[in-house]
Amino acid sequence: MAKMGQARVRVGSAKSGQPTQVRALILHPMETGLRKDPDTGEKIPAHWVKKVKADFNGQRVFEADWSVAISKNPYLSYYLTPESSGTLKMTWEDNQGGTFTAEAEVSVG
Amino acid sequence: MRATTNDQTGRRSFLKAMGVTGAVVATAGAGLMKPVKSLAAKWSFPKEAFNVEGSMEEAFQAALGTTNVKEGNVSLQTPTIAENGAVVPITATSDMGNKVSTFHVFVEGNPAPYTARFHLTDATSDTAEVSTRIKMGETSNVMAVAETTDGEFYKASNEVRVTIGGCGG
Repeated sequence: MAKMGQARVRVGSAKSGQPTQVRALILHPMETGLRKDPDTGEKIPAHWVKKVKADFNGQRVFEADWSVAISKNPYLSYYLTPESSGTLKMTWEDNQGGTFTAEAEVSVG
Repeated sequence: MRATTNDQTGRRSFLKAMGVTGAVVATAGAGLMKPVKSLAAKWSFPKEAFNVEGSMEEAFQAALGTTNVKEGNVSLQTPTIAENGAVVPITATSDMGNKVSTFHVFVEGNPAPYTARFHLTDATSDTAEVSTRIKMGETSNVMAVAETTDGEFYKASNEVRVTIGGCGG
């Protein structure tokens, strides 16, 4: 079974100075805190990714703030313009202190 | 493209076990500083605004600090009908490129309309476009607002018909 917090980043083929699509996915329940357990009837505590950060070669290039209304197993895409080859590191932080990262190598052709 | 996953807490406890404290990292050279520096958020989390329940005007005021939002310069792509309100794909695009600093997303029919915001930089705004998937409780308007670097706001809105609401499951 796939594990909570497992994350993946994919970057399209890159040319220096040309925007390329970044697609990122993380396995996360994104619980709103309003849902009840169908068996026990008790509220399931809120558990959601609040913050997403992206650093390219150590420099912050993108950041997102999320409410509980982002879907389970959140998907995200945006466009990065790399000037040179490097590493894109993404970090997801949830409201329960979970921090998860994934990296992709970007090679500028 | 190679993709790897690791738990940040694991890496930190590893550094701790190696005796690498903040002070040592600071004197060990700029190269080692990068991962530490990258952990800090550049933009604050809009906790209050995400919790505001009410009209779009109230949500705009809380999220943007204004209700002066013009039409144009931004487009929003959504399905017309969403069979499953738990997973509604959306894409916000603007032709203003590097002038765009942030995309904001609102769902009028959700209890708290303000859904998400996406901060762009010069490295991520040549093509100013973001996509994600959102939850919708009922049929309503979805709105994308592009905020510019000079503090202007532009919106685009689509109605999405929801067959099965996405907040209960």
